[in-house]
Amino acid sequence: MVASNNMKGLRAFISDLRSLEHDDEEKRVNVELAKIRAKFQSSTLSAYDRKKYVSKLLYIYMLGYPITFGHMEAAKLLSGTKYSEKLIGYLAVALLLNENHELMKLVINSIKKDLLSHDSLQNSLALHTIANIGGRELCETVYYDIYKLLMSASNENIVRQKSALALLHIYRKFPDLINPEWFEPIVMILGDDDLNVSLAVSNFVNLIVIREPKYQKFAYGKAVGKLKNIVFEHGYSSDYLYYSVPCPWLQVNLCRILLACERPSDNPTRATLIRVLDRILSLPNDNSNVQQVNAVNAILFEAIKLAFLVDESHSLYEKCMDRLADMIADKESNIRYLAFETTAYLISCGHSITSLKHYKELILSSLRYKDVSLRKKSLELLYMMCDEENAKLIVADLLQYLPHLDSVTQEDLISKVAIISETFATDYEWYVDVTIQLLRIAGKSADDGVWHQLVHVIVNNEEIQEYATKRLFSLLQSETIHECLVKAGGYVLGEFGHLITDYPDSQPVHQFSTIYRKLNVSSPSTRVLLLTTLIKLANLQPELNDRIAKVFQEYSTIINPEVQQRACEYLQLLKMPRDFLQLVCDEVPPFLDGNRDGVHPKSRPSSKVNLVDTYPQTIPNVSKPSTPIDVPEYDISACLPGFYRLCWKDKGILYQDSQIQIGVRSEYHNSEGAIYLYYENRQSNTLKSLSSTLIRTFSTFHLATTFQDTNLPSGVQLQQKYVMSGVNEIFEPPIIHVSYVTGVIRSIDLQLPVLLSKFMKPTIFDSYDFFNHWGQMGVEREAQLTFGLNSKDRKLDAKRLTKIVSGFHWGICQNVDSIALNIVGAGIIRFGTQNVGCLLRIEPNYEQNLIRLSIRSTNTSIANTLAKEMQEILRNSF
Amino acid sequence: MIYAVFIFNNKGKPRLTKFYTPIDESIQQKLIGDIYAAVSTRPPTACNFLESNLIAGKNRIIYRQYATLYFVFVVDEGESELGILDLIQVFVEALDRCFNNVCELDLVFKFQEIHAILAEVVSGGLVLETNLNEIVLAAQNQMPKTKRSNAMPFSNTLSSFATRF
Repeated sequence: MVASNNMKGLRAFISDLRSLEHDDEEKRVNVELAKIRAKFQSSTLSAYDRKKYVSKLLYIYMLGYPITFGHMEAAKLLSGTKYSEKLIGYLAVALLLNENHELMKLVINSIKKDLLSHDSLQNSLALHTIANIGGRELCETVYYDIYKLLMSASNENIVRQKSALALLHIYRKFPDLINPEWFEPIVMILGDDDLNVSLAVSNFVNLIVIREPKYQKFAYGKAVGKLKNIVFEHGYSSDYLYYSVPCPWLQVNLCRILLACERPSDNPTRATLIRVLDRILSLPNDNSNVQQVNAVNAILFEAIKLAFLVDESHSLYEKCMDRLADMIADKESNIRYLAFETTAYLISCGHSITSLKHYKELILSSLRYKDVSLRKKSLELLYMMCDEENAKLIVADLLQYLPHLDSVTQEDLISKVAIISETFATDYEWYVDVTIQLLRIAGKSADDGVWHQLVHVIVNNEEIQEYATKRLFSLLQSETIHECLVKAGGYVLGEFGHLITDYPDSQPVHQFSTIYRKLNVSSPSTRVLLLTTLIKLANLQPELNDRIAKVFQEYSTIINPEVQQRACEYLQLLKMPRDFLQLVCDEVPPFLDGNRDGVHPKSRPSSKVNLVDTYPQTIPNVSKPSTPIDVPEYDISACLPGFYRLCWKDKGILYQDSQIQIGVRSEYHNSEGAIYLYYENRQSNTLKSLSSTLIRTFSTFHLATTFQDTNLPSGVQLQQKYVMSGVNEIFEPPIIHVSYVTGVIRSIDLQLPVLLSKFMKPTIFDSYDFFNHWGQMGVEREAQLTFGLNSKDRKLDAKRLTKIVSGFHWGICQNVDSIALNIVGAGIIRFGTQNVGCLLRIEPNYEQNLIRLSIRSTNTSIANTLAKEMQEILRNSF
Repeated sequence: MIYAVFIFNNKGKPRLTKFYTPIDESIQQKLIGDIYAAVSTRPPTACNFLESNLIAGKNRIIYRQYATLYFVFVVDEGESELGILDLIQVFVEALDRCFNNVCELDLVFKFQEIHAILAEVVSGGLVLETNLNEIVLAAQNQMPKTKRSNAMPFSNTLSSFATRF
């Protein structure tokens, strides 16, 4: 049938290379490459030789050497008459080319020809290449032929399987080529008698149900039917048994399809599925063979996730818990890893996993495994398992393990413990104790955010200040603590040292001598902070002035410029009038809410006085430790659909999931505005520790009123109000960080629909006035953008477009543009103390779904900002 | 989705490299080196999955060691880890049947055939066929049976020396 693939020259070449050291190998390779290049230029090259030399190139490629020629010869092999030539040709094309390679155009015809051949081997080669490296042009040429191959029952199963995966490749990369009418017939193939055809198609169906929700119900029924057929009706031949497990890959994929679908309202289907899951969860796993164990467990993990999703009556709960418990306790690392991951997944979906908390000790012990993957998973799971009942116990256990971990795991653990202790703190003493313990054990691995946050919480909560100061001072008196604790202790002592002066061993002179000892052995950055501590002590404890002045004199000759500068400045400060020192060193006001502050701050009015008004002469630069707000990146993707809509509507839902709903209502009156947030609990359980903090804002945006109670019972609504007192700067939409506890910690970042254009006063011009202003502003002050819509399926709609423009607070001017379809608008923004005129012209192209947007303004920055805002909203609003 | 399949020996020499997602050639070799470094330092008791971001963001390296060779699949989060482990076993057993007790030398001298067999198991980065008989039949349709004339007389075969299993 086919010629022998034994090519003596190739074998000899490989043998040569294997006997050489690396440098000699390279020389031999280069000699061979030169020879092959010469052969390829010969006009008498035979098909056999072409195949042989291309094979040699492939071997050289595999060794890691770059291949810079020979691609054309590989392409020629595709149209060879012998199958063995095609095989090597297709292999070379797959390895040496990619879908963007210019030679792909030349091989399209060969591939199409093989696709239409009646030889299934040639069909297979073509389909495999399309599935692996099919680019746009190739896919456009062949997509319909592939569909026909898939749907034709008379084709060999292997061809249909490969057709399914090739068509899926096209659907994934070029979905517009796939006719939606094909989806239902494709889903039907899930029921095919050949399980491998079903397996290939199941990958396709998985993507269909994600992208096209309207097919979910149909696919759901088919998937349940197939699963039932396998599990109950033994609808398979012995060929499909893999170590006595029937086609585990297909069972896994069917469960995945069901996980991706909405839960059906159809009760008979659901009842069938529950029976199937019950049977799967009862599968014996006798540990006789590792392949069988893996196959069974692969199915079990999917079945457990699915059972939690579909089984509202919890009839399968006990079985799921038993299986998970067995797997968490399994000696096999792979099983334990996946059990941890699955359990964490279930908790993150809001399911209660109460009975597994008995395995906390076992999960904790995995923190000490050699396997870094398992350590990471166990830490993640412990973090997910925390709730208000067990948080203190888990944190205590984690702190026990902390000294024994490697530095990477320590870092992970520290950040998780920090979050847990903030979120579940019911009293501040526990929070302070935990954070101090973290820093004592592993200060080297903790980033500055940890001690910054500790200081933040202490400053913002008066009731904890005395306790924290006492504890930190006690630590400062010990010989060996990490510098981050020295910094935290120094800062806190400077602010609140006066609170502990009545205790023995912490009188002013003891505080001074402790700081002085630390000062002598610290790094420059810590010294800078401790000098600041001393100036604050001088303010609070005047009897220490002379000693502190001597320290400043001593350090004013230190080489380090930062330290020296502080010492000199502070020395001068001590000579200023007493009142002045008090003003400079007054207690700092509470920090602005940081995103991670789960311990709710109590706001106090700022007690600072404007120093310039009091002393008009030059004031020495007094540096304080920077505000320790650590603002990480935020992820606002969850609320974007709501955000886009609310940018041109006055009220609606900004964010909604199964647990919480956050609605927004906006009011604007010319240059002022207000925005109301409504938090509603959609669950039957109470949401606890609800907090909402502003993590991105601008100068005229303020929180006016907020909720007092942090508990949100079911069906209850809490309200927040923000006000905008005009606008005087270019800004980005504010972002809030919302977090709450519902058994586990949940948090989301939400972008608020506050845009510059909202501060516009709509204005109406007639044609003459509009063009007069348009001309006056001139093209040099114009921002112009041309863009399409974000989704190819969407279409521009004239009514909607007009509504959106009005929602942006443009006044729409009628009969201005000679083209009736165009939209012309005007408005005035009071920007700081100026009135800034703005003009708009929108030219929609309804055939191409394109928009050209032109904005002119007396302030170019405002024109640019308005244009960018509108582009983003318009692209996502159809 | 499966992004890539590699087979390399315990010195890091690649015996098979197959990408199912477009990767610049300049990056491919570095990628193989990075994955070998990640996999070869793991203790035998460690689980067979590593998280990585070497290809296209968040993904996972799933590997098994057989005698002198590592079989490595780089996958996205949509794949079942245990399913891939079993798929590696299917692939190895298919090689074993096609080459009558396959060993590393078969991978060296018959690399085109190894690719043809892999093409019967994975296509377009997805599982195509898991039925061992079907895989072997399809592969043998494309290749004549051959004796291993260059094989060492007492070479170790892969499946009988799989570590840990």
